[in-house]
Amino acid sequence: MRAAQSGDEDAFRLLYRHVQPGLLRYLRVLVGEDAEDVASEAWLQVVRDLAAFRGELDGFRGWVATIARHRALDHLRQQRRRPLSAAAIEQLVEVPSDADTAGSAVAAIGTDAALALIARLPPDQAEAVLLRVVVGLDAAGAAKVLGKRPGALRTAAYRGLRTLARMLAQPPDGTGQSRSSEHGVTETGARALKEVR
Amino acid sequence: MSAYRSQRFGRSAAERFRRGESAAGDRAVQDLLAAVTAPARDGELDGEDAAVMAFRAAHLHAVPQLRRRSMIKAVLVKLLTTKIAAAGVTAAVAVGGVAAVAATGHLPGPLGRHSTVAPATSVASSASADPTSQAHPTGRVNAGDHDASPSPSLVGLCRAYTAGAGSEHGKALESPAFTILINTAGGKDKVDVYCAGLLAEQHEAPSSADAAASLAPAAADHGGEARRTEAPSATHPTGAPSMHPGR
Repeated sequence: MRAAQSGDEDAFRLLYRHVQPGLLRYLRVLVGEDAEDVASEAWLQVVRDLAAFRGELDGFRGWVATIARHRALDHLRQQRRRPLSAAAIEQLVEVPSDADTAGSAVAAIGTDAALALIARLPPDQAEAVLLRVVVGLDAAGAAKVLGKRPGALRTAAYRGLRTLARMLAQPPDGTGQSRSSEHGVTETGARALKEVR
Repeated sequence: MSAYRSQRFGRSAAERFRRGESAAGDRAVQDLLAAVTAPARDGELDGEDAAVMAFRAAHLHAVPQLRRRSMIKAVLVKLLTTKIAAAGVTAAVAVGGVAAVAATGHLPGPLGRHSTVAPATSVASSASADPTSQAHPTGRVNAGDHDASPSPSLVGLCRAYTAGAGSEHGKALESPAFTILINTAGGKDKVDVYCAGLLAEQHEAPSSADAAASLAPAAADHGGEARRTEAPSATHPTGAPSMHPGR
């Protein structure tokens, strides 16, 4: 952290590799296929303000997540699209995997499908789960990113996991509370999860 | 490598969360969360080089890279640094000028008070007619200069420094013009914070800060005038009575 702040490129690379995958996955759920653009915008801002940042690695993750979230919300505002729209989720599942080898292809489907499933949660639950699990923040850090109190964040994350458990326990076609337009997503998700298992 | 790193780098909060929450006891949910936290795959780190380029461009203390650069680049950088230094000095002068204008034009109240004070002291000292009357106003002038000059010039340096913030910010700090700023702030890395504080102060209370900066030169100027008019000493008594009732 210190090294990157004082200009060490290798240290910065490590930070980037550490934060970017989770950040990108979080953004995928927020803005769909534009996640990479939003992530680059966020990194530009991070790089610009890095010297002024005060804190440790955990704080850094939260700081970057906050910046990325703001960029994502700006982006959505520009697009006049609601977050977590069905279109975004469908794009998300259809994103072709860049992976070459068979092994990583399976993993890629699994990750995308899992994200698609999380994207079906109510936005506050989805974000709570993603910030905690994917970005790797603690409850206080995630709550700060969302401007909530830690208690509210914990509740949202807990409910999110409960809902995910229910979704996973249900057969793909019997989704009573899910919207019919998302059947494709559900099936892909369930299939991919079996492969992961 | 990256996968190994990111796991070693404390996913602990996420892991605790996954194990700890009761709903996560569900095997399927655990698998799902594991899939979501899978190591970076191809394409996810595509932006790395772009980000590193931005990092390089934005970053200040690029001293090791500087040595590796070609001569032409080094010269260009030097020219740029000189330009920024010049800009800093210009800004400092400009701010000083503004302070002077403020002293003569915009602050009649404090100015009036000081103009009465300065001649009065010189009258008193000329009455006793000892050589210290010469030393006294001179002392005031010097004191005035010392009180006033660091503050506007530091503000100017800070303005120049923050104005260059986006571009060559860090190299600017390496130019001698900013040595005072660095010393005052207590280190290169503290300049950001120091300047932010200083400029915020200026912004919040421009009247009081500017007044403080401009008062001293005002006093100094008048002290100087008083000293000059004192030499003929014929003009002085005419001035003194008119000012005394005012006090």
